[in-house]
Amino acid sequence: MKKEYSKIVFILFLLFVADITKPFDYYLCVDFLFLGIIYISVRYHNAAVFIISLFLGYLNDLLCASFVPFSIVEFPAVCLSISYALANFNKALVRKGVAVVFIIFHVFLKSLQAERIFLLYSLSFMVHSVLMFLLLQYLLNQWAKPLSAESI
Amino acid sequence: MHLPSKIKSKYLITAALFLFVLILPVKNFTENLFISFSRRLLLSPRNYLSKINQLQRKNLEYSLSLNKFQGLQKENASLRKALEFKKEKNVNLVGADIIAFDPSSWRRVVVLNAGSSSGISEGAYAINDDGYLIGRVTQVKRDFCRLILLNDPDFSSSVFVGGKSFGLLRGGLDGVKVLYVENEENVRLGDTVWIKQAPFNFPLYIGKVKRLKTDPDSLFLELDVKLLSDGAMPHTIFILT
Repeated sequence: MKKEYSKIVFILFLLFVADITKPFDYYLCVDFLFLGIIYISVRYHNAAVFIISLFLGYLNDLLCASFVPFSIVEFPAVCLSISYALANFNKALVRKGVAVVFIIFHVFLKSLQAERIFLLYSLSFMVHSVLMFLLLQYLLNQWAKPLSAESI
Repeated sequence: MHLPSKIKSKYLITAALFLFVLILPVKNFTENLFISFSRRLLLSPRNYLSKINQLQRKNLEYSLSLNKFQGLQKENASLRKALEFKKEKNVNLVGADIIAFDPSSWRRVVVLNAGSSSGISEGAYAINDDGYLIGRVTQVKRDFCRLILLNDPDFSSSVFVGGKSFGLLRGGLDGVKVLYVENEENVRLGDTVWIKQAPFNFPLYIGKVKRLKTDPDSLFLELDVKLLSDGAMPHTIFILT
């Protein structure tokens, strides 16, 4: 189990580095770390994941230009919401639709934070994020084969 | 097979006429091919020589013009001194590299590897290697600073449009706009959007007007701006100090 968690932390750290280095400049409209949080919340819905998301939210806010800490609230909230949804609704349905729902939720929150709506950018962000999530899901499922967790 | 002398003359004449008609269209082509080939062979060195002479002459003309301009520059400086014009502040540029981006893709803020120790102060403008404005320094520490780019949602600055109008430049992820522009008659498509920062006595160009939006219920125009610094992020950015 420790090995599994160390893999998770390593993956999320890599996604965080991808966010701050932006290898594709601003042409790719994706928040990699946020997608990583969705992925691990669906796959390992337990207390350890909640603490990891809290820590990464704090780390994300440290480098953000905004003075209001945002990710430290958003990431754990997403984690808890996914756990709740998996516990109380159809699991198969939740796993299929969770990424799209939370990406739309993220776009809504960011638009609120910016106090403006950017239609074209929001649409690009949603499309890029969904596609990137599917790619990440496929790659991470291959790499981090679960010992005890359910597969997505 | 019969010898040509043994073949009846009428057949010979027919064959000759047939061959003549067949070769005729190709004859001109073959002739031109040989002539143009021989011309190139004989005349190409002459062409190169004349080109060299032409270039040498142009080079000399440019050298003389340069000498003339240098003389004018010296004369200008001495006249300015004589009339006691205020001395323009020299532009100091601090080059800095981007070391990180804001983790959120909803912000356009970068972190540079130069800070107050390099002479950078808050509010300083940054340009790319073409000299176009790309952003403004918002936060300065000793060894690094944060730069907000023109298309960040939080960027705003008063700007000039063309020669006579002015407005408020506002950044955005869907594009940069200039708001609250009066005088509809003075603004045209393609007008340059620029800014002037004291104490530098020259304009910093931002972009060109690509669309004009008029609202009958509003007193002001709204302009969409195409940034001159559009494209991939430069690795090195220059800050005016």
